[in-house]
Amino acid sequence: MLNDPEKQVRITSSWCLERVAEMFPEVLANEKNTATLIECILSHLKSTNKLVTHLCNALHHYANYIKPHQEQVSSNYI
Amino acid sequence: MSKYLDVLLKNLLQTAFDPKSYDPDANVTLSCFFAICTLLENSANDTRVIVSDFFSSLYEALQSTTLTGNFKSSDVQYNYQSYIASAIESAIVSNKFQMNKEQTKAIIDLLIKTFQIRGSVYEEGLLAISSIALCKLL
Repeated sequence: MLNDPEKQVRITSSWCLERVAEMFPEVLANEKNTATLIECILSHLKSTNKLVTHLCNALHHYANYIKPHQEQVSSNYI
Repeated sequence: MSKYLDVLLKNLLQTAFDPKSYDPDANVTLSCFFAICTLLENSANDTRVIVSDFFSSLYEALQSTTLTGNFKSSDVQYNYQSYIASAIESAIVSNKFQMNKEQTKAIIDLLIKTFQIRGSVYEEGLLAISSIALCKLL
């Protein structure tokens, strides 16, 4: 949907992606979905400003999730 | 995420400096630096070389903000300096690399130069300098 011909659809899709990364980052936390998210961000960095803003925020939320998650996993081992 | 860090950081910094990115309605520059800071702070231990290399890019980026002609207005120039200073702080706080004496002096001199350009200090610059001081003390 980020490649939809309609600009509003593309922007709304990026907003949804940002919300998913913020509210449910665990669904992105696997090899396949991480790769898809990164490829999606990199291929749309030249897009419209609103869309890029949402994608960058999605990356921020996801990167923020990864560190505490890793710490939690390691503490479980202890 | 480590294998994507290098390409992400480079592309985000490049996008942040795109002339159309600084838009008050949808500030891509701010979002890019927001993502850069989080990526740096949460980077894994196997990314030391990447973070260290990217620190050089941040230094060059901050250096480019000392030239007034590169920006539409002084407000835009000052905002870029603040964003980059925050990213420098994040890179240092991540504790992924050690700066030598010359590098430390160079980055502090450059941050002081940004203070002199404004005629005042700014929060992000002070935080960057304090993180360098802390990193050297610990």
